[in-house]
Amino acid sequence: MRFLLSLIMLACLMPVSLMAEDVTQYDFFIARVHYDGGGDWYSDPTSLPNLLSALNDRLHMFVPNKEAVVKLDEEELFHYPFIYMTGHGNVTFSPRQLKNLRKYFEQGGFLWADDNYGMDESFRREMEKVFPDSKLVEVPFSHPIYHSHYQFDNGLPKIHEHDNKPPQGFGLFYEGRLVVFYTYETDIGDGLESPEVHNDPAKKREQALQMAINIVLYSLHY
Amino acid sequence: MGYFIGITALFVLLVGTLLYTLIRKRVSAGKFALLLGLRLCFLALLVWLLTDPMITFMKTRSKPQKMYLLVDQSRSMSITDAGENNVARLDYVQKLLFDEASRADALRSENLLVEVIGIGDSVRRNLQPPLEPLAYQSNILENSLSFLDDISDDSRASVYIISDGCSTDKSVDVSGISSKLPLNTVCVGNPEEQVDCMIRSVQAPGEVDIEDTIDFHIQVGTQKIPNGSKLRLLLLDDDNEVLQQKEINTPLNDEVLLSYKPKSAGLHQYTVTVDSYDMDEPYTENNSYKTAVLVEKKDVRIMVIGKPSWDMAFLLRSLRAVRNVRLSVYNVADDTADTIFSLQSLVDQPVEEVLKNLSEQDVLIFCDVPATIFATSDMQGIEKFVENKGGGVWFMGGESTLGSGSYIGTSLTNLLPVFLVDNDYVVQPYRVDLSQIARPHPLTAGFAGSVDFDQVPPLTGINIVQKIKPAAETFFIANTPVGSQRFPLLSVMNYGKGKTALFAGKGLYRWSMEGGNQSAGGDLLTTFVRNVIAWIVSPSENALMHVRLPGIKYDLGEKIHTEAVVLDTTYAPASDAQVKGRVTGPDDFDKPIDFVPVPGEQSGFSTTLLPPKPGKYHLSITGIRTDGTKNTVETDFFVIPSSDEFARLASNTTFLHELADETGGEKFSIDEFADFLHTYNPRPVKEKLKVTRMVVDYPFVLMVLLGLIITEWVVRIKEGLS
Repeated sequence: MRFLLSLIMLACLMPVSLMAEDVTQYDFFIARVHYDGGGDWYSDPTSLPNLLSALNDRLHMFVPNKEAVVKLDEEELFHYPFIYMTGHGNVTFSPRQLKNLRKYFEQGGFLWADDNYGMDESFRREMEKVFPDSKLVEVPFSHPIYHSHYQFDNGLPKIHEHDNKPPQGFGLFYEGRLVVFYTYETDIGDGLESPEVHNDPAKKREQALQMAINIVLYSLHY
Repeated sequence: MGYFIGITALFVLLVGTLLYTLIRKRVSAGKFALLLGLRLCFLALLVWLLTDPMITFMKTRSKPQKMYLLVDQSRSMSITDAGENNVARLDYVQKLLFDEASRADALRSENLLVEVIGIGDSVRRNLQPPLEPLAYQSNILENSLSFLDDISDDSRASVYIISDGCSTDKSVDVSGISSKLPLNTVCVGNPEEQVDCMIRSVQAPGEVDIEDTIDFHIQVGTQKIPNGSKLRLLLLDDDNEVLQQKEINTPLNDEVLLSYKPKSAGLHQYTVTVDSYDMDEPYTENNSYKTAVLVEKKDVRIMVIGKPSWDMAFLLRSLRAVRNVRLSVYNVADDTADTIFSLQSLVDQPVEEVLKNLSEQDVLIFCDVPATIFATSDMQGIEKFVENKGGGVWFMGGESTLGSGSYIGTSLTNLLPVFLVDNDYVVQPYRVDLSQIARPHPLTAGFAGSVDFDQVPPLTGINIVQKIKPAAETFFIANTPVGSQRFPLLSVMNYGKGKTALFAGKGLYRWSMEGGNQSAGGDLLTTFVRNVIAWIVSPSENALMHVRLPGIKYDLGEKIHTEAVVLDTTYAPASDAQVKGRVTGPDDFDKPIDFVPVPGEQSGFSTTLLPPKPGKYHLSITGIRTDGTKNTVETDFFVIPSSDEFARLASNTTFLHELADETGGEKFSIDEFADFLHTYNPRPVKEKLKVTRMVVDYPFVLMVLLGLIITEWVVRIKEGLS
C-alpha cells in the first residue's frame, strides 16, 4: 500500500509531458531531459512553467505553458532545440544517448544544465564523454549570455547557498558556439519555482527569472 | 609587241613589193618611185606609232602658296589674357583668322591656299569657326610633327603653329627635333600671367573598403597671394555637397590632409577645391581637382529584426556561417511597442532611430515581424531603401506577420512579391519542394537535383499565398500534407534598384535541427540562407554574363578595351548570343556600344571605348540569346582630367621659340603675326614641269598619215591605176 501511495505521490510531482502536443508551432519551447542514473530529473516541477509564463508575459513570446520531457536516446530529442536538465543526484548517459546528444549539439541544439546540488560530479563526467576533446570552461562575465536582455555584470546571481562557494557559469563550446551552459552553485531552478515552494525572497526569484530569460534569449540569438 | 610589229612589217613589205612589181610596168619610173616613196613613208610612220613613241619637254607654271595654320585647341587656350581686352586665347585666334571685318587680305588672296588645322588630342583638318577649346590638354608637338611628316614633300607649304605653348608634351626635349619643313611659331597669351592659388595634386587611394576612411593628400599652390592669406579647402561629393571643409593659411609648406568615411559603396567622384574667398580670383578652373575612389563593400551588412524564435535563432546561425556577413540584430519584444531591443547596444531603441541608419545596410530581414511596430514614415523609408538605394528586404513568414500581421493596407505590401490575404497563417506540417522552373538559378543552387525533399522535415506553418505579382517569380513551393494543394513559398521580385524576397513559411529551423547535412553545399538551411542573401545583394543577375573591364580609372584620351562573355544555362559559352551595350556619362552623354565577336572565342565579344570628357561613366552591357533571355551587367568607370595647364597660366614662349629655332622657323607673338598677315603679299610660285606625252596624242601626226595616203591615191587616180 505504501508503495502504491508513493507512486501516486511521485506521479503528482512529475511534470506533465507535452509529447502528445506538437509544440513545434511555438516560438520557443523547452524539453526537460529524463536522464538515467538515479538523479531526480523531475525536480523543480514549477520552474519551467513559470519561466515559460514569464517569456509570454514579458517578451510576448508565443510559448506553450508546459514543458516537454524527452529522453536523450529518443528521435524526438531533435524536435527540441533547447533542453534543460537539473537534479540532485547521479547522472548517466548510455552510449546511444551520448552519440545522440553529440549529434544534437552538432545540429544546433542547446542544453542548460542547472545543478540543484549534487549532480556536479556526474554531470561533468558524462559531458566529458560527449565531448572528450572539450571541457567545461567558466564563461566570462562579459559573455552575451549575461547581457542578452538583463544585465548581470558580475555573472550568475546567487539564489541558494550550497557550499559557500560563489556561483559559476560553465560553458562547453562546439565550433565556437556555446552548446552547453551549466549553472553551478546558484540553483536558478529553485529560484524559478513558485514562491510557496522554497519561500525565496522576491528579489532572488526575480534574479533567477531574469537570468533564465537571458539564457533562453541567448539560445535564440547565437 | 616588238615581235608582232616585226612580223607585221615584214608581211606588209612582201605584199607591197609584190603589188608594186605588178604596177611597175604601167607607170613611168619617176611616178613609180613617187608612189613607192609615199607608201613606204606611210608604212614607216604607222609602224613607228605602233611602238608608242613619247615626247618629253619642260614647261613653267604658276601656283598659289599653301599656308597651314596649326591652332592649339587645348584647354589652356580658354584662358582670358589675349589682346588688349583680355579675351580667351582661342577667341583671339579665331578673330584673327576668320573675322570678316579684320581678317587680313593675305588670307583671302587667290595666291594663297589657307587651311586651319586643329591640334588637340588629334589632328583636325579644315577647322571652321567657332573654334572650341577642348576639355583637356593636347600634345601639340607630337601632333604637329605628325602633320609635318604628311606634307613634308610640298615645297609650296609653310606651317605656323599658333599656341600658348602649354602642352602636355612640353616637357619633351625640343633640342634635336628634325623637320623637313621649318616650323614657324606664333605665341598667344600673356607670358606673365599667374594664378592665385591652385590644387597642384591630390593623392587618394583607388579603392577602399566602406569601413575605411579615404585620405586625400592635397598639395595646394599659391603664386600671388601674400603670406598670411586664408584659403578654404573643400571636399565635395558626386552631388557637389560639401563633405569636408578646412581653412588653411599661406604660406603653405606641407600637404593638407582631408579625410572622409564613405557612406555607400560604388564608384564615387570626389572634388577637391581651393579658393581665396577674401579676394577676387581671375581664374578658378585650376582650383578644383576631380578624382574617383571605388568604395567596396567586402562585408554584406544585414540588419535582422525579428521576434525571438527558433527560426530567428537558426537564421542567425546560418547567417553567421556565411562569409563576410556583418549582422545587427533587433528583437521585437512587443507587437505594439515602437521600440526594439538591440543585441549590440543591449537597450531598447525606437524603431524610427534604428531605421535611420538603413542606408548603411545591404539587406534587411524581417523575421515574423508585424507591421504594427512601424510608423508610416518608417515603412516609406524601407521602401526607399529598396527602390532608390538598391537595398534588399527578405520577409520571413509566421503567425505575426504578412496577412496575419496587419500588412494589408500598408506600403510594405509594395515590397512583397505576392498579394496578401487577411489572417493567412495556417499551422500545418507543409512540405517544401522546388517549383517547376527548368532553368538553374542562384536561388536553387545546391538544391536542384541533390535534395530529396521527402526527407526534409516539414515546416510548422505557412502564410497562405494565393497569387504572386506579375513581376515576381517563385522558386520554392509548399505542398499540403496530402499533396493536393501547392502554395508559393519563396517568391522574389526586383523592386526599383533593389530586390525583395518572401519566405512565407515558419519552421525552417527544422532543416538544420532535424535534417542534418543534406544539400550539396553543406547544411541545408545555411545553403538556403546563403543563396537568398547572395541573390539579394548581387547588383544584377550576372551569373550568365561575364564582363572584363581593365580598371575603374582612366586618363582622358585612353582607350578602354572591354570584353563580355555570355553563358548558357549550363554555364557553357552560349553559341547564339549577341551583346549590346550603352554608355552614359557627363553632360547627358548617352551612346550605344557595338560589341563585335572575338575571333576564336565562342560567345566572346569586345569593344573599345574612348570617353570624350572627364567624369563618371555608367556602362550597361546586355547579353541577348535567341530565346529572348537577357543578362545585364552594369558597372561604372571614371575618366580623369588633367589639370596641369591651369596650374601654369603663363603662355610658354620659351617652348615655342626653341621649337622654331630647332626647325629653322620664325618666331612670332600673336600680334606680330597679325601684322605679318596684314603686310604679307603672297606671290604665286613658278613651277617647272616636265611634260611627257604620246606622239599619237598629237592630231598633226594623224594628218601627216592621212596626207601621205591621200597624195598616193591622187597620183594613182591620175595615172589610171585603181
